[in-house]
Amino acid sequence: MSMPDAAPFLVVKNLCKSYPERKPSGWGVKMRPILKDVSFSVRSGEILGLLGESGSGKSTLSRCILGLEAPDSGEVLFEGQAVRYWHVRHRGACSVVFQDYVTSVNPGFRVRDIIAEGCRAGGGGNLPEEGAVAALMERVQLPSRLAESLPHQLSGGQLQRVCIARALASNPYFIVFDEAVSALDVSIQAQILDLLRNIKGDMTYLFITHDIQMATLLCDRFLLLRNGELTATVECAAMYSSMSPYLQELMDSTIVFSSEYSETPTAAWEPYA
Amino acid sequence: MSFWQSLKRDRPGMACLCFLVMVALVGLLAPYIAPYDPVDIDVRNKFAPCGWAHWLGTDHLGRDILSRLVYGTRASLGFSLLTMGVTVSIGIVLGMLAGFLRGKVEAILMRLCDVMMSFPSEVMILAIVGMLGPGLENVVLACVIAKWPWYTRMIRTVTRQYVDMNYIRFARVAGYSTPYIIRRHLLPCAAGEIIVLATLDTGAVILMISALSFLGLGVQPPTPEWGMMLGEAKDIMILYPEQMLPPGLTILLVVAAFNFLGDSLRDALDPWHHPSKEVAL
Repeated sequence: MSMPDAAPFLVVKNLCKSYPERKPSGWGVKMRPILKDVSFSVRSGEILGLLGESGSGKSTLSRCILGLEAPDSGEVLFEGQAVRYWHVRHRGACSVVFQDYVTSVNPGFRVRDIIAEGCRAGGGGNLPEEGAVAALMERVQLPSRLAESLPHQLSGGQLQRVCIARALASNPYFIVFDEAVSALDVSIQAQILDLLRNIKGDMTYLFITHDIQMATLLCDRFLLLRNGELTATVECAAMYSSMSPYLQELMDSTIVFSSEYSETPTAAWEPYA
Repeated sequence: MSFWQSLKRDRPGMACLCFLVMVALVGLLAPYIAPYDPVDIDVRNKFAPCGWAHWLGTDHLGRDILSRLVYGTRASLGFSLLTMGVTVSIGIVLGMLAGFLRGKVEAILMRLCDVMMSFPSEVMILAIVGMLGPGLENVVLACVIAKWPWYTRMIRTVTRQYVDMNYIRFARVAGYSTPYIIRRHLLPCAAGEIIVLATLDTGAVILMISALSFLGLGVQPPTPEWGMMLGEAKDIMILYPEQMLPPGLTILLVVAAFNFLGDSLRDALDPWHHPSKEVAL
C-alpha cells in the first residue's frame, strides 16, 4: 500500500513546542518541552501511525499539524507550503476526528446540522446540497432516521461515526485521527477501523493512537513518539525484523486474553495483512 | 426547546415572566392606558383619596398617581433594560475577545476589569453622576461604566470554558472565521449564563435608577419616575404616609419579579435539572 516514490505530502521539520508550567516553588513560570526536535514526513496516500503513551506529545503534535497551535520553532509544510497558508488556500482539504466524541459535537445541534457544518467548510458558507448529508450518513453506515437526533440520544459508536461523516463532508484529502477509536468499546473499535479502511480511497491518514494493536491493524507504517522525541519508524510489513527495545517493551506489556496465562503473547502480533 | 418546557413547568417563574411582560406592555402603551396626563397639575385637587376619579389618588400637586406610575415604567424599566443591553453588549464583545485571543489582549482587559471591580460600584456611580451632573442619561452611563467589568469577566470565563471544546477546534480546522464560530457556537452556549445574570441585575439597576432619582440625581421633574415619586412622597410622609405605597410597592414587586425570574431561569438552564438529559444519563 505504501508508495515510497511519491513526493511527501506533509513534512514536519525540527518541530519544538513547550508549554509554560508553574515552578514547584509556586513563583514564576518555566517552559516544559513537549516536543523536542520532531521531524518526519507523510507520503501522499499512506496511513501513517503515530504511537506513543499518554503525555508523549501526540496531541500537541496533531494540533501543530492542524494549525491550531504555532510551534516554538521548526516547520510544518503541506505540499511545500507553511501550514497556516496551506490551510487558508485549501479550505476543507484537511480534517480531523477527535478522541472525545462528546465534546466533538455541539450538544445543542442535530446530527444533520453537525454534518452540514462539515459540508459548508469546503464550499464557504453555502448550504449543503440536498441529499449530501444523507449520502454521508450512508457512507459511514448511520441509519438515516438519526438525522434529526440530538447528540445525547446517540451511542458512542454512532456519535464517532457522525464525527467521521463530518470530517469527510468537505472532501478532504488529509484526515488526522487523534485517538479516534480509543474511547470506544473493543467491538466498536474494530467496526470503526473497518469503516476507516473502507472509506480511505486515496486520502492520506495520520492515525494517532496509544494502542499498538490499532496501529498495526490499520497503518502502513508508524512512528514511535516517546517523551516528545521520535524514537523509531516502523514499517508494519517488516515489523519483526527491525524490533527496537522500546517497541519490544510496548508489545510485551500488552494484555492478551487467553485461557492460560502462561501462553506466549506473540501469537496476537501477526501484522495485519 | 427543553429549556422553555422546564421554565413552563415552573409556575412562580412563569408568573413573574408574565407579570414583567405585562408591566413592559403597560409602559409601552402608556398613552392609551393612563387615565390622565402624568404632568397635568391640578392644585385644587391635591391629596385626593383613592376613588373612581383617581384610582390611586393624587399627589401634592394634584397629579394622578396611577398615570404617573404607568408613565414611570418607561423611565424605570425602559432605561434599566437599555442599561443592561449596553452593558451585556460591551461584555460580550470584550469578553469574547479576551477569551478567544488570550495572550496580551486578555491580560490587559482583565487587569483593567480588576481595577474597575475594586471600586465599590455604588460609590463609583455616585461619583460619576456627581461629576457629569444629574440626569437620566448620566445615570445610565454611570451604571454601564460600573457594570461592564463584571460581564466582561464572566463572558471571558464562559468563552474559555468552551474555546477548547473539540467542536470549536473542528470549526477552526475547517476554516470557519472567528465571528462565525462566536455567533454559531459560543453565543448560544454562553446565552444561558448571560441571561440569568442580566435578569438578576436588571432588578438591581431599577433600584439604582430609583435610588438616584430619589436623591434627585436621576430623572428630573416633572418627568414621572418611581424612585422620584417615592422621594416626593417622603416629604409629606407624616401627613400622608399612604402616598409612599404605590411607588414603593411597584418597585418592590418589579424588582422581586426580576429576582425570582432570574432564579427560575438558572434552574431551567441548569443541565442537572433537565428532564431530557436525565434519560441520556
